[in-house]
Amino acid sequence: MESISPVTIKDLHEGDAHLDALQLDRDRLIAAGHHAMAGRASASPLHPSNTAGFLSYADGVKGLRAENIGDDWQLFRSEGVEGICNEELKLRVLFANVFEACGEDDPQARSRKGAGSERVACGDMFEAVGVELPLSVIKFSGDYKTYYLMVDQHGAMELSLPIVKAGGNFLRCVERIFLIGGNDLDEIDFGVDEPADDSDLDIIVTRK
Amino acid sequence: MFSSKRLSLARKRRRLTAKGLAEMAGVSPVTITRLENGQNEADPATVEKLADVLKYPTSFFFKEEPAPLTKEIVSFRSLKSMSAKERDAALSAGELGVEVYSWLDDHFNLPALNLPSFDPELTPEAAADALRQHWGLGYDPISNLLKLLESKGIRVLGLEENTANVDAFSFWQDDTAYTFLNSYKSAERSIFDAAHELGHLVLHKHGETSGANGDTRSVELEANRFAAAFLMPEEDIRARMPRLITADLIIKAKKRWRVSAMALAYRLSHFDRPMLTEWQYRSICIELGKRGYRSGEPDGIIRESSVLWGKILAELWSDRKNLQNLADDLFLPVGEVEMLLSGILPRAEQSGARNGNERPALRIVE
Repeated sequence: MESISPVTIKDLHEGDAHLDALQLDRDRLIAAGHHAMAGRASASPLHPSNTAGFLSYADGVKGLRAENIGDDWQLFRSEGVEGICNEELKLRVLFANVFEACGEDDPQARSRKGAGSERVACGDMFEAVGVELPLSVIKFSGDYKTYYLMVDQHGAMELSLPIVKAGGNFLRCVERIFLIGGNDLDEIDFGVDEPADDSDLDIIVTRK
Repeated sequence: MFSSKRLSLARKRRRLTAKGLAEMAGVSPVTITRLENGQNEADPATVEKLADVLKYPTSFFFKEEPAPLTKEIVSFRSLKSMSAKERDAALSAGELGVEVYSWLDDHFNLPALNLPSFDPELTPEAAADALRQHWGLGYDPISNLLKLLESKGIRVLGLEENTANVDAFSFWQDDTAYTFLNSYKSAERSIFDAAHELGHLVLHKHGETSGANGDTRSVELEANRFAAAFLMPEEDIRARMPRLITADLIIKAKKRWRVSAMALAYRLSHFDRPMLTEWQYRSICIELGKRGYRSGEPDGIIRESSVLWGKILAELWSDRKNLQNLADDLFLPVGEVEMLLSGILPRAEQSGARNGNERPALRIVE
């Protein structure tokens, strides 16, 4: 089996050039990720424990659309998979909550992807370049590359092209573009005497 | 051209009556009244005398007319216990504060206002919840309210009124929201004051907040309800607080929400489904009172300070400019600018007792 050489782009300018080629914009993707972060924050402690993740996903998809739809990017919805697509470039972008974005290891989704995601995210690009995928990967012919805006709970974000393997996990990423590192907003296990962190707030003052 | 309104402003800042100013300046009371009414032109010698007595630069009186603030648009907490002199001095401080921020706006890009209008029919609790969601705060405690307000474009300044009668006040001017905070009380109570003023800005933008004939009590109660809900979300409290609540637990738990022990106890006992019975609440209040929590906040938190002004002063200092230069640009006595920053800048020397009229030294903290 031929091995795949994954590409990880950490450099800002290189990443922006790559995003330009995809007709995507770093700031808009980050803004979409912030929709997800705001969604996560609106979960109450009285909600069920998986609410933060769901709200993050729902608002992440909303953010992708709100920030990007227009021109060549359109709403994408198929087989229970939601995101945006660019018919001209044959691209799709979906949203995923991950355990760690912009880390050394490939990101892992916090929830298993469904069969729809597997089908959507496994185009024939590997076959096209003569790459034989492991048997465990369900392959479907298709023309689209499916990227994920991956956001972790600290606010780190990357736009990556994963292989979704049977069973609903990301096998690995063929391509990773780091968008923004997370701050230190760890999920605090609040005790009653622990004040929260305000490191996400910044006051920017510039001269005129 | 001589500004009659500026003479009135400076006099009120100094808490002088027209008669008192006339005596100090050696002119007749009628002269002062006529100057303030715009009936007479001021001759240079009189302006010099007045400027000298009021300790304002002569040039101050020839600036364009100030934007007037009236007691009808300003939210004063304790209007009844406040003397007219105190109220007028505070209003004048508000007018000067607007000018200071106008200068800042001319020289710096400051955070834009992010304070949406909500349905006036919302209850204070619903408005607090809506604002939290709008700002993406969820139900977490607010670790620095002053920084939060500044980051959302609310213009914050301080007061040095040496009186408990002017806790804090706020107002809208030309679609800009201003809040003035007094550092007279404990850090926790100042935070509650700031949240209370935020409540006025959100809830009472379109109506009178404290008109002489207005129903000030209900708007004050609404602002308090907003502050309590904003600082201490019910959902977070219910998720954190155990069933058995004691005074000890409240003293420990108040640090999470950065409020006074009394405010937390009050909140717990005033939910629709109270977490303290009336009897428990009363017992806890008595216990807290015995431990000094009624008049102060033993084991309190560090006072919040302005991040925005810290950055502004650092920027000015990088050009070797200080508050004196800012005051000179505004034709103000430097003491007035210092007063407007009083209590909102970090004060390393605060531990020493303040003597007489001595002001704490202002310094830039990186």
